[in-house]
Amino acid sequence: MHNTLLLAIVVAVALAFDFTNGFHDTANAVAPTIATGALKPKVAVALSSVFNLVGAFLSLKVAATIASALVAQNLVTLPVIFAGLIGAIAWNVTTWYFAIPSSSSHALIGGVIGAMMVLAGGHAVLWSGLISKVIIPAGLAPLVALVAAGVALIAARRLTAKVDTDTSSFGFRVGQIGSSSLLSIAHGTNDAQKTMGVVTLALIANGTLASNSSTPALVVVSCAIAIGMGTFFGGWRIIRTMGQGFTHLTPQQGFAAQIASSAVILTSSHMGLPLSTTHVATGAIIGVGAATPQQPVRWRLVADVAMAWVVTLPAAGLFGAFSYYVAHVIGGTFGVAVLALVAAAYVTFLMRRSRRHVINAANVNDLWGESLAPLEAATVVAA
Amino acid sequence: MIASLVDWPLLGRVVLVAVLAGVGVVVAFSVGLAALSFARDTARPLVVRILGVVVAVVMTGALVGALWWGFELITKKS
Repeated sequence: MHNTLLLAIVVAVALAFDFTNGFHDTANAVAPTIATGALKPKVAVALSSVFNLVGAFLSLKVAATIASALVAQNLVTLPVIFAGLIGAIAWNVTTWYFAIPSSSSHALIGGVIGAMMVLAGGHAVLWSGLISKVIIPAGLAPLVALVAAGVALIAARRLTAKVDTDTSSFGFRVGQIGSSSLLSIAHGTNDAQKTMGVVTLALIANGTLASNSSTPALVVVSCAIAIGMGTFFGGWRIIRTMGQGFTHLTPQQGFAAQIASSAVILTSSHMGLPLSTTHVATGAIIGVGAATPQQPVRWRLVADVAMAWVVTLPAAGLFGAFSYYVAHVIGGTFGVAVLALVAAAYVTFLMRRSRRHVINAANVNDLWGESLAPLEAATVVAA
Repeated sequence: MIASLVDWPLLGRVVLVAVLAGVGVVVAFSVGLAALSFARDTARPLVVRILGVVVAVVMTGALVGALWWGFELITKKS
C-alpha cells in the first residue's frame, strides 16, 4: 500500500543511519594512520571518505533484505524498518558520545530484532541464525584479527631488525596509506550496500518498486554520498580511543594491524562469513599491542569495550522495540513522524553534550590520560 | 547444541587463509623494506646492493599482486 510520506521518512532515516555509520566506523580505517603520524588527521579522514565513496559505488549487487536469515522476511514492514534504523542510530550515537567503538551492523540487526519482537513475538526471530551468523562470529572476529596482527608484527620486527629506525618508520608509514585506503574501500562496499538494501526493501514494501527490481541509481548515489559525508565528518572521539586508548602505536604496529584487518575482513566476506569491521580492527590493534611487551595494553579499557559489544544487540534491540511500540501506540504515519522527531532530539542532545569535551583533529593525538582525562574516565565508566 | 550451529570447516578455512594472507603481505613488505635499506647502504658490497634491488622489486610486485587480489575480492563480492 503506497504511503509516500512514510516512505520518505524511512528513506531519510536510512540515510541518517548511513551517515552515522560513516562517522562511527571512520576509526576502523584511519585510527592507526593518524596515531602514527602517517597522515595528518584531516587528510586521513578526507582520503578515507573518498575511498568509502568509491567503495560504495562498487556495490553493484545489492540484496533487498534486512537482517536476512535472522528475522522472518515476510513480516518486515516499513514501520519495522523504521524502528530498526532508529534503534541503530540511537545506539551508534550513544557509543560515539562515549567514544566506544562498536559494530554498526550489529546495532542495525539488534534494532530490527527488537522491533520485530514487539510486532510478532520471539518466533519471528530466527535464533539459530542469530547465534551462528552474528553472535559466534562477533566473538571470534577480534580473536582472529588479534592473532593475525600479532604474528604479522613479530615477523615484521624480526625481518626489519637491521633496518635503521628512520627508514623503517618512513616505510611503514607509506605502507599505512595503502592499507588504510584498502580498508576504507572495503568498508564503503560492505556498509553502503547494507543501507542500499534497506532503502530498496523500503521501496519494495511500499509498492514503489517491483520485488525483483534492481537498485535505482539514485539510491546508490544517495547512500554513497551519505556514508562518504559521515566519514568526512570524522568520528574523532572513537578515532582517539582506537588510536591512543588501547596502546601507543608505532608505524610498524599500525601497518601490521591494518593489513591484518584488511586480510581478515576481505577473506571472511569473500568466503561467506562476514565479520564486523569494528571488531576486527579493534582486535588487530590489541593484537599488535599484546605482541609488544614494552608498550602495555590498557586491558581495563579493552574489557570495557568488550562489554559494550556484548550489550550492543540487546541495547539496540531495546531502542528498536521502544521505537516500534511508541510509533504503533500513537499510530500511523503520525506516530512514525513523532518518533523521528524524538530521535532527532536525542541525537541533538548528545551532540550538544559532546561539546563539553571536544575532540577534533587538533587534539585527537594527545596522550591518553592527560588533557582529556575526564572524557577518558567517562569512556571507561560508560562501557 | 550451540557448537552444531557453527560451520567449523568454513571457520577453519577463513582463519587459515586470513592469517596467512595478512602475515604474508606484512612479511613481503618487510622483506622489501629491508632489501631496499640494504640496497641504499653504500657500505655494503655491490652484490648485496644489487640483490637488495632485485628483492625489493620482486616484493613490490608481490604487494601489487596482493592489492589487486584484495580489489578483486571486493568487486567480485559486489
